[in-house]
Amino acid sequence: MWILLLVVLIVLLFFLALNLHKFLSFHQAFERLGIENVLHSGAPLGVSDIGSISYWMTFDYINRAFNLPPEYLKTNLHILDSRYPYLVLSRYARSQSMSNSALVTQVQKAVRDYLTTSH
Amino acid sequence: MDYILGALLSYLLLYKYVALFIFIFCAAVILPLPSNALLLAVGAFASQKYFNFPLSFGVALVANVAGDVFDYWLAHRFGRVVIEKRFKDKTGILPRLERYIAQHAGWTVFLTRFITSAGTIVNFLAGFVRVSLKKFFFFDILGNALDLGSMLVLGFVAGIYWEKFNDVMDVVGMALLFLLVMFVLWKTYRWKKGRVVY
Repeated sequence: MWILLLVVLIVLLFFLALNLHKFLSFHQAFERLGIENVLHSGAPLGVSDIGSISYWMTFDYINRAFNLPPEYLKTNLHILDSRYPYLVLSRYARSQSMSNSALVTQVQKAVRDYLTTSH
Repeated sequence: MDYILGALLSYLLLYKYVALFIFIFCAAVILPLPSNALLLAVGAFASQKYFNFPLSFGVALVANVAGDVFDYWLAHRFGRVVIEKRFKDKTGILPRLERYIAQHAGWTVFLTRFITSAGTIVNFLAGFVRVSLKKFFFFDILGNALDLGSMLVLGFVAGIYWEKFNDVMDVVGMALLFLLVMFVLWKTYRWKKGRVVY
């Protein structure tokens, strides 16, 4: 019985050791976070946050998060899909025979251009 | 980020509270959906004012409790019929399990709200051993309110870094599950040695 408990404990410690890097990256993120995110909640994201744009996001969410004019991305990226802005990036990429990463890069560039020229 | 979580997040952004209710309900019933990750994400979306925090909390709580009570009801209504028809309990473990759960129902329900996989099993067990619905409901709401609330607050505080918090929560969840397994093994050991009677 004690051997079994010891085996379970060793497996647990091994698993935690394998995932230690997640705690380290979390710690770094938490240090950067501080209290600032709470104080600035609701504020639009900025140029430094462009890396957070992901394939699972919708154009509507990106517009709201970065405070973009509703039609900006549609015009800039020549989007003709009638579902815009309630259109997921990955689905749009698939309809355009593009990879997710290629579309995300285009969207990030468009958002960066707007934020750096408007602010 | 894995493909399933990405797909669920897309539906969350498209259908908001309807999607939140369905995902949390299904995760509470039995489906292995990443409910903690979804709640962290919703908290982060709320920090960007894309979701309303109190409404998200209310919807998630109702969905989770509804899913738990559904499991409880299923086991309460059909549990004994299925078990007694298909299994002959020669070890006498079922009456002992019943007595243990009955003695520690409240805390068992409350604490397992924080360990998703164990929570579903306890929902079925509670219904099977006929824990009073009132008691189950009370501790279920209490545990879920704390669990869901803390996930949403963590996501709100984390903002765009919510995925880093999710990585850590995965590890913490696995660690809690292992600790629970060790606790069950220890209790079984004590019972077999006759040091505790249920």
